[in-house]
Amino acid sequence: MKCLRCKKELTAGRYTFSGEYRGEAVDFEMDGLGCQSCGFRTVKASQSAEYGRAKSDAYRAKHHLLTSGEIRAARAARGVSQEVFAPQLGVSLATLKRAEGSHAQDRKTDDMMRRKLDPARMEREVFDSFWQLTLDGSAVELLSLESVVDQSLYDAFSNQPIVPVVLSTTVTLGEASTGSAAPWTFEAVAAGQYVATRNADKTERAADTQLALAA
Amino acid sequence: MSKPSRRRVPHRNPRAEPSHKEINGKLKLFKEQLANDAVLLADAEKFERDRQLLGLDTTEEVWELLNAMSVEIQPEHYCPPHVRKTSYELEGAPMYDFAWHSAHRAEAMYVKFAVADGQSYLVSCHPDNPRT
Repeated sequence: MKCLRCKKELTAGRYTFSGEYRGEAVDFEMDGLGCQSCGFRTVKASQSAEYGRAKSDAYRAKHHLLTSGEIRAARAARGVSQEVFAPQLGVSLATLKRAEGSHAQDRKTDDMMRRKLDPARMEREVFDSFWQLTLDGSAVELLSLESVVDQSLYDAFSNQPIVPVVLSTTVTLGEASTGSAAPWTFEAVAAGQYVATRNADKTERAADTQLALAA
Repeated sequence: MSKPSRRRVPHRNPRAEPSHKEINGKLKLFKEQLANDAVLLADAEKFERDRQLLGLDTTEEVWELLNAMSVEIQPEHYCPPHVRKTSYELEGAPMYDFAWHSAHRAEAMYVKFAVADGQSYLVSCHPDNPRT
């Protein structure tokens, strides 16, 4: 294959390409053809989708977004099709196809996908949100982490300040703005003893909701 | 009696319309190289716009289009531009424009390629714009 500029022979190899994605200059590496004489770089026509994906991945890495490879790897680890994986990620099939291709997802979609891919992160965010609420004054005495029945969650948050609990009512994390039911219910079973009940069906929505306390 | 002088053939005007033979030959080469995965992009960065316009996100989708092109395009689909241009990517290499109705895409398509030194370069490929 001949170089279009200097007609010298092109060499196959891994080259650095420079491109532009969403107005930003990005450099990325991929297999292609290069001219050792004039520095011309190109790819085969059949590699054009790969070129776009490599470029968008460089952009995504720069902006700390999940790359197409990471999303595909997560799906491969679960051994499911795009049709099955899309609802698991909370996105449409078209969005998943684009994200696995050369379209970088926006920050909001990326956050949602990360939560769905990392349940621990989602639970952490639920608790972070809860603690923001509990530490803002009025609600500060509502919950002790010691009373959380899930030991792994307790371990994860055991470095947080423990607040003595004296309450004899059921405390529910409020309803989401979307109208979905609260995913966590905290119930006082005895003085200073709480049971945190996780509604598994609704947990997925938890991190997306504006949490509010309701007695 | 002196022999008549041999008529000198003038240099071919690079802006002249290509002959049928030339069109047939270049298209045949382009289609062969498409089938052999040997067509290069004249400018990968510029081709991105076309690829996005066509909604080709996966290598399989790109392959399907290239395969369809290698079957569907015929010499009679050649559509010369009003003013014949030479490719700015390929010094002195003429470009060949084809427009056809693609059964694969179910729409009118346009492709432009250039051939330099026996190597085909895909310059652009997108839905055909209405011609005035």
